[in-house]
This record gives sequence, C-alpha cells and structure tokens, in this order.
Amino acid sequence: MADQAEQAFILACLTHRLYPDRPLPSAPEGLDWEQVHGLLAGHGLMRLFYALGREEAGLWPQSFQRLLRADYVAARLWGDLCAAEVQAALVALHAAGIATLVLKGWALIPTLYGGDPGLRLCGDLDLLVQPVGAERAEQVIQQLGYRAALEQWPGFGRRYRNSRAFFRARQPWPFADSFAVALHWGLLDTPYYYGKIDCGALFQRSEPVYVAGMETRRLSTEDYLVYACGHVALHHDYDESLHRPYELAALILWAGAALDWAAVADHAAQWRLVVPVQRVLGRLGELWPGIVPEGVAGQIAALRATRPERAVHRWVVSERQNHGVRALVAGLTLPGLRRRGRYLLEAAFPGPDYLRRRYGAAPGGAWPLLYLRRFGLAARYAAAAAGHAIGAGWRRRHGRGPNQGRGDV
Amino acid sequence: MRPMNVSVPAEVISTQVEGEAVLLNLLTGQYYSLDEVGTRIWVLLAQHGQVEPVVQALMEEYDVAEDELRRDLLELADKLAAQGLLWVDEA
Repeated sequence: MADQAEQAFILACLTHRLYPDRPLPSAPEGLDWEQVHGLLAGHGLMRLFYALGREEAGLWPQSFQRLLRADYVAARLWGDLCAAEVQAALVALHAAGIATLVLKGWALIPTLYGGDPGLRLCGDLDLLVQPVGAERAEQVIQQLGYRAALEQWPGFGRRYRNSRAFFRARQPWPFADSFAVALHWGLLDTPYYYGKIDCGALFQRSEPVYVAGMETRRLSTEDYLVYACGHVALHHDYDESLHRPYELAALILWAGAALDWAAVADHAAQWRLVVPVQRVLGRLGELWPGIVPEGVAGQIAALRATRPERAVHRWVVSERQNHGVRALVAGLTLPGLRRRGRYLLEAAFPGPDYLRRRYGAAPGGAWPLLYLRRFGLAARYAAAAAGHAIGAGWRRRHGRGPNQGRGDV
Repeated sequence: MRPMNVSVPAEVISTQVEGEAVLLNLLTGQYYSLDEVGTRIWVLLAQHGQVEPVVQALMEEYDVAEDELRRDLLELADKLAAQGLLWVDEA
C-alpha cells in the first residue's frame, strides 16, 4: 500500500494517545505529510492530532501543525456555536421537566476531549427521551425555532419510528439547517430492535455528565459500548475510519476496571447485537491487542446470534443505501401485524406534501402522478437488492462473484 | 474625547486558541487572529461595550502611557471595524 508508512505512523500516534506510557516513535524519514494530512481528514482525526501536536511539541514539522491548527480553529468556532445550541436545548427540556440522555458525540466530549467541542465536532445533538415524553420534547424543540424533518404523513415518525430530526436555520448561521437536534425514543432506528432495548432501564443505569455547561445524563459506559457497536454497524456500515474505534478504545480505558464486561455481553445478546459487538470489538482487538481482555473477548466470541438477528443485520448492513429495502425491513420487523400493514401502506403512499417536496412539482399539478416516480424508484431499489442477493448467493456457492476471476490472464 | 460605544456584530464569532483570540466574520468567511494584547483588548471591548472602561482597565494592567494606549486602542478598533468585526459608534 502506497500510504503504509503514513497509516502506521497515525496508528502509532493513536496508540500513544491511548497509552501515554508507550513511547511515540519518531516520524520515519521521508514521511509524506500531505498524505498524512489527507488520511487524518479521512479518518476524522485532524483535530485530535492538533491536540497531540499542541501537547507534545516537536512531533512533526511546524508547518504541519499549522495546518492542523487551522482546521481546529474553524472547528472550535463552529463547535462553540453548536455548544450554545446544545445548552439552549438542554435548558429548555430540563425546564419542561423532560428527562434526557445525551447520546453520541456530545456525550463523549466531556470525557474524551476535555470538554472542547472543537476537538470533536458534532453538528447535531442526539437525545434519548422516554417514549412517553417524546411528544412534549418535540414541542419544546420546535418552540426553540427548530423545523421538523419531512414526514410521509403527519405523525408518521411517532407511529412507526423511534427518532425524529429537527433542523435549525437561524442567523448568524452561515447556511440553512446548520444544526440539528435528533430526538430518539429508542436507541436504534430499525424496528426489529425496538422491543429488545428497554428504554426505562437505560435511564436507570445512566450516568451524570456535564455537557455544554449543563448537568445532564448519558448512557452507562456498558450501554454506550453496545449501542456504539450497533450504531457503527447499522448506521455507518462498519466504516473504516479510525476515530470511531479510537473513541471506543479511549472509553474502555477511561472506564478501566469499573467496566462491567459481563453486562456488555449480556446487552449484546439481549439487544440482538451480537454480530456488531463481535465485529467492532474484534477490530478494536486487532488495532490495540489487549484492549478487550482476553477472557472477555472469548466470551463475546462465543455468543451466538439468532437466525432473525443475523438476517436483519445482513439486510440492513448490505442494503444500507437502499431506501426501499430499509423500508421493507422496517415494515416486516415492526411489532404487530396491523401496524406492519399500516406502515407499509403509509410508506408506499405518502401524502401530497411529502411527494411534492421529495419529487418536485407534478405535471399539471396532478400530484398522484408522483406515485409513478416513487414506484419507479422502488423498482430500481428492488432490482439492486435482487442483484446483491444473487451475487451473495453465487459467492456462497462458488467462493467468488460471477464476474470475478475472469479475463486478465 | 467623546465617549465611544462598541459592539460585536451578530455575524462575528470568536474563540480563544492557545491564548489568542480568533475571529470569524461569517459574512465574508474571513478569519482573523489577535496577539496576546489584542486578545485582551477584544475581550474587554466585548465585555464593556465602551472604550473608556477598557482604557482604565488596560492602564491598570500594563505599564503604558495613557496617550499611547488610547492611540493603539483606537487604531485596533478602527482596523476591526474596517473588517466588519466591530461596530464603533461615537455617542
């Protein structure tokens, strides 16, 4: 690989960041700093490396540190603006008596980034609320000036989904929809997981944390680890960027001996997230051997995913970009037959407002014609999914794809 | 000297990095950074909204002649205003 030395150097720096007692190897001669810069940007690590260079002068050329600083400065300015939005949202929800748990990036900033929103840029705030408080929480966020995401029919999200996004477009923000608040009343978006993760128990096990100057709460470390594995798998298709495994590793080291690995394994099995937990923690073990204790790694490797769990995981991950398949998997895994039927009907035949905003104006204003466009897209999604399924079947039977291994001799 | 009111426009955001103020004008997309003294002046201007209390505060913090301080302060305020980073209003 052309950038092998640069990749190895980045990993060595991350290892040093995680284990400060492990010496940082000096940068190999001839290292392509432009390449390092590009890789750091791709891995989402520029700002973390800025902090590293700031704390340990002389790690790399000053010109490189200046590049990192410029990125950090922009992120910091932006992060401060976002922090003000986060604070306002938390204050308003707290004043309305709505209990919230901060999820994802904003929950990690206090622990892993010293509270600096410039080091871990988060353009949205993800909040878990109790299902009974979701409607009120939506009202509070909208009263702050946020606009709700487009829905197929009014109330579609509340009926069939467990999250809804709200966007902010306010001066002096430089562009529309600059910041979003996503309200979740369940952890994962795919309905298969809805009944498997007890929201009330998440609140009971939650931990206090200060976010953007506000005292609030976040998931317990054990819950977060399992959730993060599921999120990386189902939402990010196991993306290869290093900042996610770095954060998980840093969180594990931060928790230290207090981390209840038995609870992690239990949650993985109960939440039907065995495959994501095995794969994500397995990758962590490859990057930083020993980060998951050997006995724990064996225990997690021994977990067996159920057949439906494997099937849902396969379809959601392999067809991540396929909206048709996602809608179908959502419909087929919703609890309750009637609810499934109504969901599929409402998803297939959305309201006129949704159609117009999604597909543009209809010829002659005849909005039902837009259904033809929608069904055309659905047919394309179905064809793509069928192609993938045939390819996967071929690979299972023959060990390679139908077009691989031919031609070049 | 006539009293001068100052204020930071809504489209200007700032933060401090390694002890230096960094200012961004969202309308132009231009970044500016101030040195240590400039940062202190910026913080005081934003805090007081008037030039006179800033002069008094800086006189206590720095060993400098008042005339020289006023000249440097107004020069900085003019530069900031020229870049749209500060509104200066002679009351």
